[in-house]
Amino acid sequence: MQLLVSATGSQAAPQAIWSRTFQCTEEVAAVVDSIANQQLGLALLGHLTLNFGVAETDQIVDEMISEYHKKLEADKMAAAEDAKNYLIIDLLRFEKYKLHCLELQRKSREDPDWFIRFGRAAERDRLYDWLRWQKPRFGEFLDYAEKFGREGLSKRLIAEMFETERRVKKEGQSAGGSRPLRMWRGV
Amino acid sequence: MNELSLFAPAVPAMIVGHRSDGITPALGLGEPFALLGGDRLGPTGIRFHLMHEHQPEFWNWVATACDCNLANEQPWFCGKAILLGGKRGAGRTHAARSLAHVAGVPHAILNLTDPLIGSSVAASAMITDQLWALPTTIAMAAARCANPVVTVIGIDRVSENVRAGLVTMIDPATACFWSEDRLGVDIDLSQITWMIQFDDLKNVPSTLRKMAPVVMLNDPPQGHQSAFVISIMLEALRDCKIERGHPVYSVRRIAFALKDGGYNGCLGLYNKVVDAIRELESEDMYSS
Repeated sequence: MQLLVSATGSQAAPQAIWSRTFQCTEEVAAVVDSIANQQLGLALLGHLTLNFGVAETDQIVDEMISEYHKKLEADKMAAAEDAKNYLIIDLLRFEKYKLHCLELQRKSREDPDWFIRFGRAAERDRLYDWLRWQKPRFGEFLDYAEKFGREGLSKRLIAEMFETERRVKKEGQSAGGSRPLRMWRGV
Repeated sequence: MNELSLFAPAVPAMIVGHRSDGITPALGLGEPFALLGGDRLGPTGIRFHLMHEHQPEFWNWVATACDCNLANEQPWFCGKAILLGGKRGAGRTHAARSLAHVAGVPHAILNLTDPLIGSSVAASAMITDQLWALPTTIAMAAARCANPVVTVIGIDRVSENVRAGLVTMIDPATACFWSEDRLGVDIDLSQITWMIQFDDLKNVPSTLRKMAPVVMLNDPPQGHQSAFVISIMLEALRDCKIERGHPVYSVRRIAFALKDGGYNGCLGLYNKVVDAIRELESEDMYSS
């Protein structure tokens, strides 16, 4: 990379006042981006080189490259964190606009990946009593929702809940009432 | 056979001080004084090194002045007079000092609100209570240069007499024989570049407004990464007598020592930069 300087209105050929070789083209692109995006424009870099010498410009470009590598590292870390958070799925139970909601949401996302709303809290809690013990299967559920849609997953979960309720009732462990799985502890 | 000496371009010069009684003028004013800046009138000279791209109106005026000097075959820098406006802290004195530096001429400040200077400017040939010559004369004599850049302060805050006196100093018809009373010398001020600062154009004499174009400066940009800040740093380094090669002569070190990005006007920034330079110097002294 070379920094060429030419005075406005001058007929003389541009003069190289600074040059440098880089380890890879990504570093060159990072420096070009940095100059283009920041207040530190080309003209300013020219003034710096002319007035403070090439060593000063070298140090500034070193900082730009170091910033680029730091950003690269930060991006990598963020991607790894994102991948880790993608696997963490939370079950949320709350009330919003007088509707009783259940949501499954990946930690890496701002919005829920699946949700269901009930008019009555007891209905929501009945499903919640079963769903809260299915944590290891949350990923499988969301994959299912991706394939068959939100409603498809809702139907499957409710069907599985009824099946579990029947089984638990048979085993004589049902709590009865509107929340038969309230005392159930999974499996 | 005589050896030929190397060719050295002649520096234009003029005699600025004249006495009608034949006595040699004081301060060497009767000797030829250099007219400087002629080697910097081209595109790679004054306008290139001025570092005032953030003040396009001022930069254009400087470029035009250089072009006019070249067109008139006048091999030295003379911008005549301008009325320099802008908010306080916009960098008017800094612009004048930068211009003087890149043109290679001295810079003087003529503060009209100073009572002694004001009375000297106003009275001209009359008896005054002035103590010594005007700063313009001293600057010319000290640097032996006939075309300094002079910053005039307070034109809109002084009496009619002082304003009229200044007009006499600037008007091309009268500037060639301005009377320096105490020295008894007529001084030729015709090659001075006058940069007259004003806050309120209404209080600037109309005769002066006809002679000098108005150049407005913008507010200086904020942040530490601008040509303006670099330009102030260079000015402060020059004033602190720190030259290239000195460990403190580093824009990164000074910018780091400035700590925060805020400053109150050009003078505020200049003071901060000078403080930062002094701090770095003392740090270096203790560490060594």
